[in-house]
Amino acid sequence: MNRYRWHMMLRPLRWALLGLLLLALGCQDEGLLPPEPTGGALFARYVAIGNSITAGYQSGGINATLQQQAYPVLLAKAMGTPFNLPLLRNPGCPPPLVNLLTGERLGGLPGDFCAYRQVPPPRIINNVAVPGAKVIDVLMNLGEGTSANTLTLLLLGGRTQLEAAAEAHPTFVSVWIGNNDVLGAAIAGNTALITPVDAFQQRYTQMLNELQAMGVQGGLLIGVANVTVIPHFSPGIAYAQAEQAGAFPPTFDVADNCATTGATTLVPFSYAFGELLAAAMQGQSVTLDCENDPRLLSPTETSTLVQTVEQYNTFIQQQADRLGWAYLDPNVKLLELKSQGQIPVFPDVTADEPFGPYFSLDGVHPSAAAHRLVAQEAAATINAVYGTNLQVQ
Amino acid sequence: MGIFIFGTKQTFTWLEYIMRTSRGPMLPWNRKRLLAGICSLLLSLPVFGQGFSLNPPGTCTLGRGGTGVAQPCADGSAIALNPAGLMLLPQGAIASGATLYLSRGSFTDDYTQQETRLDEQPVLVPHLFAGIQAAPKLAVGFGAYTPYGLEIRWPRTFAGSFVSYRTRVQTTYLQPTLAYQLSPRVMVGAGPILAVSTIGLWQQLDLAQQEALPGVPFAALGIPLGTSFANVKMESNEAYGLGGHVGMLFQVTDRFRIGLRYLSAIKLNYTGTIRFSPLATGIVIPAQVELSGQTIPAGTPLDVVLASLGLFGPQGPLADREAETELTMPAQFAAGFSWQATLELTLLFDYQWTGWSAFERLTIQPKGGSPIVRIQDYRNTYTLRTGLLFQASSILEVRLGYIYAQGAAPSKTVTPLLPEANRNLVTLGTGWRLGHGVTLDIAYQYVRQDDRRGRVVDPAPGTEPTPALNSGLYQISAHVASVTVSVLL
Repeated sequence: MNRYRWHMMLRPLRWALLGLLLLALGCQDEGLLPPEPTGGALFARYVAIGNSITAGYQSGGINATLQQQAYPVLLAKAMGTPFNLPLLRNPGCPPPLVNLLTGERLGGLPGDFCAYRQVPPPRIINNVAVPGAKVIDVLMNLGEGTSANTLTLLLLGGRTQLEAAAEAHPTFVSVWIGNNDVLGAAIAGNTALITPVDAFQQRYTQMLNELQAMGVQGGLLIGVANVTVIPHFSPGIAYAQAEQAGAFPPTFDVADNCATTGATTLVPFSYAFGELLAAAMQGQSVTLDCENDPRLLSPTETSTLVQTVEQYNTFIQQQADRLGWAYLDPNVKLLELKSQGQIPVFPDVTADEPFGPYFSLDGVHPSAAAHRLVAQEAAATINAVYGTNLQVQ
Repeated sequence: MGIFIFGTKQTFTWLEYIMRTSRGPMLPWNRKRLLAGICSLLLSLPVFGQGFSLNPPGTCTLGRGGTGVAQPCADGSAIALNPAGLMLLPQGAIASGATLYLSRGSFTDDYTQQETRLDEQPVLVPHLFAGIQAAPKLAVGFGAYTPYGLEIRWPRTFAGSFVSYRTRVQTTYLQPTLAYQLSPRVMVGAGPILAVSTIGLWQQLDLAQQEALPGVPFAALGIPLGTSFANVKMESNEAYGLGGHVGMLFQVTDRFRIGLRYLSAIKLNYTGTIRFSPLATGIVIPAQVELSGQTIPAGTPLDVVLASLGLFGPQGPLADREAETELTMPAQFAAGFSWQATLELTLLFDYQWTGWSAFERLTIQPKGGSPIVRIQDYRNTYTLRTGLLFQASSILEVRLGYIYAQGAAPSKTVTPLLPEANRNLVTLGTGWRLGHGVTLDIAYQYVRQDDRRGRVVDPAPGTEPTPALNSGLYQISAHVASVTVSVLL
């Protein structure tokens, strides 16, 4: 067979082969791919790390309703990205307070009640925050200084926040952690319980390193709140004024030093009302002493707390700058609200909102309105750094 | 908070894998051994047809796109393509060779965009055909071939491992065949089939979905979805079934021939064993909890708690069990033609219908327990095959082929068990006559399955699967290479 004949006979085969290959290779169907988040690819997988605030804890309790009011949920909506929560069944675990005076909780249930998790659970959890968490708890559940609790098991199944976050392969994270590194000391009136700044920095750095190792492309770091500003703490003089106004029973005495030398001493609500007033209501004579009671925060202790928070936040901002991430100082807004009188100096326990519109019934945790405010501030901060256009409704 | 009160009574109703023992037809020991030897040649086949069907067997057939109902290859593979075609053998033939399958595939999760790849291991599958003209109008032959088979392996870390991380269906048809020439233009053939089959299913059990308390699954206590705590291996003994294969050829003109064949459905009843083995969850209880009135301190491994329940003991809910199930290998009907356009060029076309609707559900009946039902709802399918034969010289034939195979699985049952879809296959082959009646056949096939969305989880017990459960993209392709040496007797 000569060469020309070979060529003529193979020509149709050549075209047939090419056609068959094209048919077989086909094309990728774009409809098979998941949609990109409306906020941009940066937000394809958003994970929130934090403590009770980020988890949605309000009024001394947490349930699915409150979890869905949390700022990261609002932020995720603005991003247009899926955001799965480890939802707790109502009435909660524990159910939130519905009456500050009586201590009644949702459903009339006790404070140690837990309604477990909703099932089926999501495959991936985006809000990995756990109430009570300090910075160290993001890294590990067991060991000295950790404060893992029942909700660590219920929300994350025994994983750390970082372990749970890694399963989502996050592209963007928000981190609001560190409040509990000072809050416990403030409520106990013991600055020795503050997490030392160098330990805080070491743990915070480790957390950021591990997040970076997950391939995170961007983030928002939120500074530690100045816990002395929250309405859970009132100055001694406010208690003196309340006594003069007849707010307390005769068995509850406010020492004169609260109106004079101890005027700037801060009194935790949980101590004054939860312990002293409760005892007074039982007929026991109690005295709030603003100079000698170790459970209160002296001006020196308050100053130590504020300075520590400032040192924490300076470091956090440096880390955000180093990584090119966004940084939000919550204390700017917090002090603004305080100066506007939106955060009451002393709780009006007979009002619907004893701690004002921005704090829930425990005086520590933000209300739904505050979460909206945080989400708006966070969105604006992210937009400024990343050139995005997140809008929180 | 004293919230975790685990029940002392275990309620693993989901795992009542208790089977009834039944014995299939018994064969004399030596015959069973013979069958096992033959079947061992045909094990571990990946999926390259539709459902869990395979390519028509043989290197020559593979090169021409699996066509051959009207003109089977002259190597004895007519037994599987069209029994009547055995009459086309000049004298007799025996063919031996092997096919190498290299499948590639992955699942890409919609959300994490993480890709899990199939365990991509090449599989070598030998094949053997034989036939002979016993009389002027009569041919006989014997074939051992595998129309249905499946081997899918995923890594155990795959999210779909709770549905299945390994599935195996091995079915060999043993078919003695007679072909007879009714007239110069009409040939018929038929043969009974003894099907020999085993199935295997490997999966993990998810602790999150099991009950810790009546009505309270571990997931409600925070255990993450996808927490493996037990490995399950279900393997059947050999099952046997009977069927038949008939075919007919019409020599319409000297250059045009039509072929028809029908392969009956074969129902197989399997018995086997489900074996459970514990897997470490690695979970450490992070805080002190109360369990059935007992305090479990922080730092206690969950596996210690599970071990204390005696789940895998002889009387435990996860003790090894016997089970039975049945599977129907579907019927096939094929029609095709061959047309010798010129002395050098022959065009082949086959249409095949496969009764996949027989695979409605897979029901595993544990001994004394509730059946485990996997809804499949396959649909009947068609396959179109075209082949082109080019006689380049007196000793060299070049073959081309193209196959379109419709997927049998509906959108709701695209799972790790069998992530199936429509397929396009192209083939290239050659046959080289070496002399003395010896022919060397070489073929290559590229398999491109349409990307298809699927799921990695099962629906809740008692509920129907839906496409809403699909959470990612399955992408499958394969390379197939085959070599056969055949001898004309």
